[in-house]
Formats: sequence, C-alpha cells, structure tokens
Amino acid sequence: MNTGFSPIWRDACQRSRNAIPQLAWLKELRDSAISVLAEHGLPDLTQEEWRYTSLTDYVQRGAAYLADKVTAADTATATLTVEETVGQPHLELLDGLLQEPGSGARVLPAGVEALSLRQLSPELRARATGLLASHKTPDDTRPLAALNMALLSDGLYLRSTATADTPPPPLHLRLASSGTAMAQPRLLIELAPGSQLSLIIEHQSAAGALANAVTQIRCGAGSRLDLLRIQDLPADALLTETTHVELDRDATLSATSLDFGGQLVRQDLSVALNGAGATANINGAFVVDGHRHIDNHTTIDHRAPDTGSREMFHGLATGHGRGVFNGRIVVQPGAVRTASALNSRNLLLATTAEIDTKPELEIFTDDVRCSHGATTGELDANALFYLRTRGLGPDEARQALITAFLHATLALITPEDLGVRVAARLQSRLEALDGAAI
Amino acid sequence: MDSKLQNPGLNELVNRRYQHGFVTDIESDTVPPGHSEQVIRFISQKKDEPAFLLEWRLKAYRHWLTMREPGWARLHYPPIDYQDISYFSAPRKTPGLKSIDEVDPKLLATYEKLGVPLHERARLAGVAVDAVFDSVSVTTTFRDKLAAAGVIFCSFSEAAREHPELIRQYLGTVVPYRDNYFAALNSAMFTDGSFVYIPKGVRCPMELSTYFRINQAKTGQFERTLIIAEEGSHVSYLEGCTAPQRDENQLHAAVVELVALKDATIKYSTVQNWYPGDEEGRGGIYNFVTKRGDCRGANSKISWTQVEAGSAITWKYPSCILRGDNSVGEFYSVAVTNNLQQADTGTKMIHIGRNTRSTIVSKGIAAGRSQSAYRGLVKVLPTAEGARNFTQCDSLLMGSRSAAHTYPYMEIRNPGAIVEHEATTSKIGDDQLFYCRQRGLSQEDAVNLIVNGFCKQVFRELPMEFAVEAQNLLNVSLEGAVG
Amino acid sequence: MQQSAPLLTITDLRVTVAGKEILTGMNLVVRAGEVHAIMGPNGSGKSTLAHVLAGRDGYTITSGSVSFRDQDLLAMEPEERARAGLFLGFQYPVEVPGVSNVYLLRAALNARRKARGEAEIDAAQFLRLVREKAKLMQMNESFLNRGVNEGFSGGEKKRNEIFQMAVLDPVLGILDETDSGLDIDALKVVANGVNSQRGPDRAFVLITHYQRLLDYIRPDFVHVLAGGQIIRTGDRSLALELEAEGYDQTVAAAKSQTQTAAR
Repeated sequence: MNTGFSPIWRDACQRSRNAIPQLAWLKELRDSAISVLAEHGLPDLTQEEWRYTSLTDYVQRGAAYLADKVTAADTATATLTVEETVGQPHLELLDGLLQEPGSGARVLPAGVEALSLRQLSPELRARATGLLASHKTPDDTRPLAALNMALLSDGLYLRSTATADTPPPPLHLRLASSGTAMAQPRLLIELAPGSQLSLIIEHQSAAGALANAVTQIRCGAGSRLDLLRIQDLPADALLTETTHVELDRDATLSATSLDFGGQLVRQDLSVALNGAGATANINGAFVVDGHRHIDNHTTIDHRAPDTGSREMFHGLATGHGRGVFNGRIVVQPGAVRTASALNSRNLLLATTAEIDTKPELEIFTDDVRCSHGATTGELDANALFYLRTRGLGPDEARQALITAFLHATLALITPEDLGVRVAARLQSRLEALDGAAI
Repeated sequence: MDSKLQNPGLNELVNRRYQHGFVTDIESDTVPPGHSEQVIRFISQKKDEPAFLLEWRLKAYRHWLTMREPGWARLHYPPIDYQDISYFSAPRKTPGLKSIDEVDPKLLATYEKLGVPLHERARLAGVAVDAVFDSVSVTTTFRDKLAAAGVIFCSFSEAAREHPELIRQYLGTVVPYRDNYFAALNSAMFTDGSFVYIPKGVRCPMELSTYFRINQAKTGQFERTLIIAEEGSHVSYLEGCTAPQRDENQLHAAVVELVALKDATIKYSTVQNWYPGDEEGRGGIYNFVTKRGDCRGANSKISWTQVEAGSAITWKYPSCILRGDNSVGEFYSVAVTNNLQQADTGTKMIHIGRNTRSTIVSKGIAAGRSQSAYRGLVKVLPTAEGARNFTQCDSLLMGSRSAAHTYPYMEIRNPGAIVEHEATTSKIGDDQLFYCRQRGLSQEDAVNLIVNGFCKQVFRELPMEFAVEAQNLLNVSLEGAVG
Repeated sequence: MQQSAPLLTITDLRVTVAGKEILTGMNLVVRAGEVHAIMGPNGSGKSTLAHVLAGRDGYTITSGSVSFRDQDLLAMEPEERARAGLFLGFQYPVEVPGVSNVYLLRAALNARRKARGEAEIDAAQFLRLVREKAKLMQMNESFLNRGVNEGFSGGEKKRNEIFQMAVLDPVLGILDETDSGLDIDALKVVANGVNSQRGPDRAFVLITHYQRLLDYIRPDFVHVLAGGQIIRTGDRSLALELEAEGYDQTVAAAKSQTQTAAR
C-alpha cells in the first residue's frame, strides 16, 4: 500500500534528509520514517481511523508546495503578522523554525529551558532522541508523524524543572504557518519529576496554509502539565496534528483543546498512563460552521494500576460543517482499579451539517470502572422556552444556550484568568457564526 | 412473582461439558468440497429451482469472486479455505414426508437429546417447527392451522417452487448479494432456509420456530431466511441453534431478510448456541451472519432479540432500515463469551423516515480468555426529522484475562434528531457477591443471579419458553468463570 | 432470667486490616433470647466486628475464636453462616440490579431449606409469608418485585433489610448501624420489626453509634467498644450515660480504671 505517497513526496523526503547539517543526528530516525511512509503511504478513507476524513485536498496542496521545491528551510525569512501577546512569555515556530525571541517576548520562566533542535548538545540530543522515538499512536496515524520526521527542518526542545514552590506562568507557544510552504512544526517537551508546566499552544497562519504538527511530551513522576491548545486558523487552512503524551507515576495531565477555525483539521491525541496513579483530564470543544471539517481522535491508554482519566468533548455543528469525534479508552491487562469516564456531547443545528461520534472502550482487565456516553441533538426546547418566558428573544435565547454549552469546557481551563480570556474570544467567534440555523 | 428468573436446575447445569456434542450417523448426499459455477448449478438443479434463481446465484457468485474477506472486526482466526468446504449436504431420506412418523427415527432421537421433542413440544407449546437438519428442511408441522390463516411457513426451497413470484419480488431487496463478502457467498451457495409470508391484516396465530443444526463435518451451512409481513400483519419468529461437537472449524454464513410493510410488526428472536470450541479454543463454529430488516411501510416495527452464547467466532449485526415514517427498530442482545470465544456483534439502525425511533440494549459478558465486542451504527439521514435513538451498552467482565470492547458509531445529519448512547464496563462487585452469600446463596448461584439480573432487560423481550432456555444456556456457558 | 446455652461466643478475637489491628482481643457471649447493644465511637471496630462475623474477605484473624451454635464460625463460608441462622443487616445495603427482591428471598430461603434437607418452599406459602412480613414492615408490595435495593432511598433499604430478616427467620440477627440515616417514623417501623421478632430462641446484636435506637429496642446488655475491645458492659442505663457524657469521657474513665486495676 502506497496511497498518496507519490514521487514528489519521496523526493522531498530524500532532499531534506541531508539538507541541514545541524540535524545530521536525526538521520536514522529520518530513514526509518521514510520506510514507514513507503510501506503505509499517506492515510486514506479506506482505513478505519480515517473513515470520516479525507486528506485528498491536503495531499494535493502539499504536493503543489513541494513541486515548487519550496521547503520550509528556504522560507526562514518569511514574515507573518501576528498579534503580540503582551506581558506573556512566548516562543514561536514559523513554518517549523524556532524564531529568535522578538521584542515583545519576555524571558523564559525560571526552571524552563528552550532550545532549537539545531542547537542541542550531545547529551540533550540523546534525550531528544528518546522522546522522538516515543510513538505509541495507532498505526494508521503514524505516517503523518513519519512525514513530519522526514521533512522537519527544526523543532523546539523544552524542559521544565520548575517545582510547585515556584509555579511558572503559562508559556505561550505559537505554531505559525506562512502559507508559502508546508510547515512541519515539532515540539519535544519534558517535565522533570515533580516539576510543573503550563503551556498554551496556539496555531496561527496566513491564508492557504498547510501544516503537519507533531508534539511529544513526557511527564516525569509526580509532575503536572496544564496544556491549552487553541486552533482558530483561517477558513482555508489545513492542519494535521499528532500529539503523544506519556505520564509516569502520579503525574497529572490537564489538557484543553479548542478548535474554532480551519478548513480541515485533524488532531490525533494519544495519552499513555504508564505509571501507577497517573491521571489525565481532557476537555475539548469544537465549532464547525461554513464548510469546516474538524476531526478529533483521542486515545487514552491505561497501562498501570490505579490510573484515572476523564474526557469530555463538546461539539457544535451548523452550516455545512462536519464534526468528528473518536475517543478511545484502552485498559491494558494489569491496569487494575482504573477509573475512566468519556463523554461526547454534540449540538447539531442544521440539516446540512453532520456529527460523527464514536466513543470506544477496549478493556482487557476486569477490575475497572469505565463508562462512556454520547449525545447528539439540537437545543433543548424547554430551556429555550424558559428563557423566552424570562424575556429573551429567540435568537438571544439560542445564543445563550449555545454559549453555555461550549462554556462547559472553558470553565475547566486552569489557570482561571486564562479561561476567562479564551471565553471572550469564543464569544466573538460565536457571534460571527456562519450558519443559517443560528 | 417474576417467574422468568426462576431457575431450579441451575446447579446441575453448571459444571458440565457442552451437552449437545454428539454426532448423528445418517448417510448424507454430499458434493465434494470446493466452489464453482458447477456446484451452484448442481444445488439449484437438486432443488428444482426456477431459472431466475439460478441466474441470481450465479451473479452473486461472480461478484463474490471479486470481493475480499472483511478485516475490520476485532476477530482473529486462521484463514478460511473456501475450496475446502462442501457446499451441499442433504439427509438421504429427502422431503415429501406426510407426517412426523415418516421422519428418520435417528433424527427424532437427535432432537430428543437436544431437548426439542418435536411433536411434544410443538403441540404443548403451540409452536410450529420447521426443523432444518443440515441443509434440507425435514418436516413442518402445523401447516394446516397456518394455512387456514393464510400464512405461508415453509422451507425456502419449497417457497422457490411454490411461490416464485414472492421470492422474485423480495429476495435480495433487503440484503443485496453485493452487500458484503459473506452475504454474497450465501446468495451464491445457500442450500435452504425458511420462508414466511403473513398476509394483510393477519396476526400469525402462533410463534414460528426453526431449529437449525449443523451435523455434517466440513459442511458449511448457508441458510437463507425471508420473512414478509404485509400491511397490518404481525408475526413472532423464533430461531434456535445447537450443533454437535466437532474438532474442525465449520463455517456458517446465513442471511436473514425481513420486510415489514405499513403497520406491520416482525419480532425475531434468536438463541444461538453453536459449538463454541473447547477450553483451548479447538474447533467451534465460525458464525458470519447478515441479518437485516426493512421497515418499508409507515408505522412498521422490527424487533431483534438475540442471546449469543455459542460459536468460536461471531460476526453478526442484525439491523433495521427505518424507511417508513414513524417506524420502530429494536435490538436487544446478550452476548456471552467464555474460554477463547470471540464475538463482534451489534446492530445498525438507519433512520430515513420521519419520527423513526430505535432502541438498542446490548449486554456483553466476557469470561475466560474471551473477547466480546459491541459494534453498532446509528445513522440519521437528513430526511429523518424527529428521529430518536437510545443506546445502552453494558459489559460485564469475569476474570482478569477476558476483554470487552465497545465501538458505537453515530453519524447524525438531522438537527431534529436526538441520539443518546450510554455504556459501562465493570466486573461483578465483590460487595454484591458478599451480600448474596450473606443471604445464603452459594458463590456460583450468586454469580448466576447477578448475571441474570444484568441481562434481564433483554430476557424479558424473549418469548417465555425461550427466556428460560436462554438463562440455562447462560449459566452453562459461564461454567467455572468465577471462583 | 435463667441462662440458656450460648449462641455466640467470641473469645479473645484479634483482627487486622491491611496490617493494622482493628479488634484487639474482643470477648462476648450472646445467649438465646438476649438483645445486646454494642456502642462505640467511630473507628472503634464496630463494623469490622459485623463483617468478620458474616465472613467478609479482607480481614485477617490473627488470634481468637468464634463459636456459633457450637460450630467454628470462622471456618465457615458466608453462605454457610447464613444457612446456619446468622443474619447481617448491612450498614450500606447493596444494590443488585435486575434481580427482584422476592427472587433473592426465595432463592435464599430455599438454599437454607436445602442445606437442612427440607423441600423447597411451596409457592403459595412463600407468597403468604412474604406478604405478611411486608405488611409488618409497612412495605408496599410493589417493592417486592423491584430489583434488590435498586433505586431505594436510604430508609427503604434499611427497612428492606429488616424485612428480609423477618422472612429468613434467623437465630441471630446482627444489625450494623441499622438506625443511621432513618427519620423517626422509619426508625419506629424498623424497631417494631425487630421487636416483633424477639423471642426466647432468637438473639440480636445491635451495632450503633447513638442510643436513640435503644429507646425503641430495649437491650438486655449494653457494651462499649473502644480501641478494638469491649471496655465496659452494663444495662440500658449505660447507654443513657454515654449519651449524657459522650464517648470521650466514658472511654477515658474506663481506661483509667483499667490502668488502676492493672497497678
């Protein structure tokens, strides 16, 4: 099988193999990535994991960029206008290349170090290699991670040793695309045992952008990671994103994922609870209007005793939008006393829109408490009526209920003031909703 | 009093080996293993079929040759050699029997051992039995009473000869031969099955029942069942399966098609107990079944109830196409796996008409080293204004080496639809076991009690005599699973 | 009152849970016809005692013995204890979804009869028995066909426990905090259910934190359990004393007495 992996892609992979001398240490990983691609090709609709999402446009646009022989390495000087996040430490990868801190950036929080993959010491290269090889995502998504490996021209290595005594302020990471090349952003993040980190990962791009992001995270024993991902790309942007998080004993992940923009966005988030007592709380919200297509695939893999997970996704579909949610909970043999709950809640507001949801459980041990639920429907008529008896107009009442539905996710963002800021953004987004039924 | 839960012979039933494991020695008329157009022509000729049916079989066969066996289910089994299967076998004493006395006594004895005393049971329970022994229908009872009501209940072969117009009109309209690999194979090779026709406005005067058995080594069994319920009619159909013990795997690929016209109701109940293989997973039936009902008319209803306890491999998704406005689809399922059994079963509810409703209740119980998966699709098309679905899907794990999986697919394209899915996975609670034991029940009885309670929502959908049988089956299937 | 033969004899019972000793040398003799109340502060080992007597897993008996009707109780399975006539009214009655109350009762009753070599109970007779006891407990008959404790309120569950005890007719009823979570009306119904079952051949052990229950079920003996053993025994007035002075003072006083005696 070699779907979509045409000579254009093969040649590009070969070209970038030796293009950057500072990344020569990646050669072996790049070669194995190329063989994964040669064997599996790029994902297509015949694969169970991709039954609701076609990458046809994505592969075409990617091939067009590559045909122009523009690789990200050539576009390092391209600029992009992005709003400055005043007063917050931030880092930016433009088309996958780590940018020199701009004037608006503050110094990194104490206990956090950040380096380009091109600047790693031999010792850090060894650590980074370990992270790069951490791949326990389902087979069908691996080709996209392999594509990133084969084509990346830089990446960010981030490490936190900040402890609870000095919790660092949120660090803002912007993954930006210029729209002139296919971006392959790569993030490698390590939390030392007992450390803490709060990250905001935001996707930004110019029109017509195409990106294939990969993030690998390891949370050491007892560490805590707060992760907020915001995707509000232009209406013609294409994004695939693969994120893999591993948690050691008693580590905690609290992640929120928000998708409001883009033409086609596919996120594969996998979380491996490797150590006893590790927990993951994952919340997500997405809005599909216009012709937007958003597909969230998540896997939470319970691999050790006494691990816990809670996951909740809220989806809103209107216009010609299509929202896909596939949440998988796996409880491996021996992962006794696992407690897990998964929920998918969806609002469908137009006959031209579609919601496809698939909450899955794969349970290999008996001493567990696992549940999942999913609902799809329109706004509650009783609630609408109630609000109208209190004097709200029909549109106002609908707007209020939609906002309340999505705010269930935002209320869980930590720290709280961040949640408030995101809520304000969502509100303006909802007011501009492009859907006949609103 | 809840008599459905009374279960006197429980202790005796537990701790014994598969009781239906014996082989009846009757000479068979068997074609050599292998598939070809020639074999199909032989089967069709043997059954004296009309020409259109042979043509249909051949089209199905040619299409099947272009298809690949599906691999998406969570099932693992060695490749099936389709050229090593014998596609036709019939008992020597073939049809034309006027009364039950003409039936081969050995055959009757077989039914006795299975606990199906044909005439006794039929008379006492008021059930008409169309017994399929391997591939050919042997005897049919209560024909007269049914005929008086205008109901046709006969073997598929007979229907093809006597009522070709009905077969031509309905065959393959619910499950086309192109539908899937196993349905295509069945369409080409089916040897017999049951046919039911309920005329307009008729309420079928009795439960219709068929007992299927596989009795010939290396004989694939390919039944084809077609049930047509005309406007305003009502029928309840019961299907039960047991099979003799065999060391070699046997393939079973049945197709069931149901058509419910305006205001009609079809209730289809199954207790499936094909030989599951031994403790080490040797032998056992491969059960690849396509069952689908078409609620073609407004206000029609199709209800599937199944208790799946047997087979080494179960691949089965009884489905409803809810085409008529206000039509109703139901699926109630208990799937029990033990030892090395694997089940991938569930349903599809396709909402097309307005105000269509569907209910799915699935109870999976996995013991030993078995794997049980629920796979279900709820699809709501834009036309299905006001559609409703509720799905409840619970798994009970017994023993730390069993596995239970849940794969619900929900594809919703109408904003007026409400689709709800709930699922849980757990084991039998230690506190529940202790509570029952404190009241004086043995560990084993406590387990049976709790498991039967877990399945109650499904059992109460079964006709009474089936419910008792199903409970017994459950207890036997879970022998030694806890403790 | 003439002393009858002991039903239950607990001798120097020591029990640990997860390595921690909860019962530290408990002694108690219960004779037929007696009602004993065991009171004590939280964490004194009251519920552990109930669970150990009923045979629950998770408790390690490090020394001592318990005999019940001249049998070694600790060697018996939970269901054997039940069939021998020991009934535990649970502090938190368990829900068994899908299994109706009457079905459980009938199965339990028949299991006991079978163990004694008796025939199964006749359906009509069973129904009469169940209805009579349901009436006694002021339980609506619809409860009988509902799943065991499924969706019952806290008070309904407790009432259901006493109802089950009435049907199963044990020789020793151990009621673990049966009064907790009951309003006064429910408490009266529960107490009435217990009182109606008192008799010369039957004994009760009431495990409770508050003396309130003892206003309605008059005990013959009141024991104070603290630190895993019985530190004081008296009649009903001891319960009133406990209520007036609190556990702390009573326990402290008992301890100093013990220490004085030890010197």
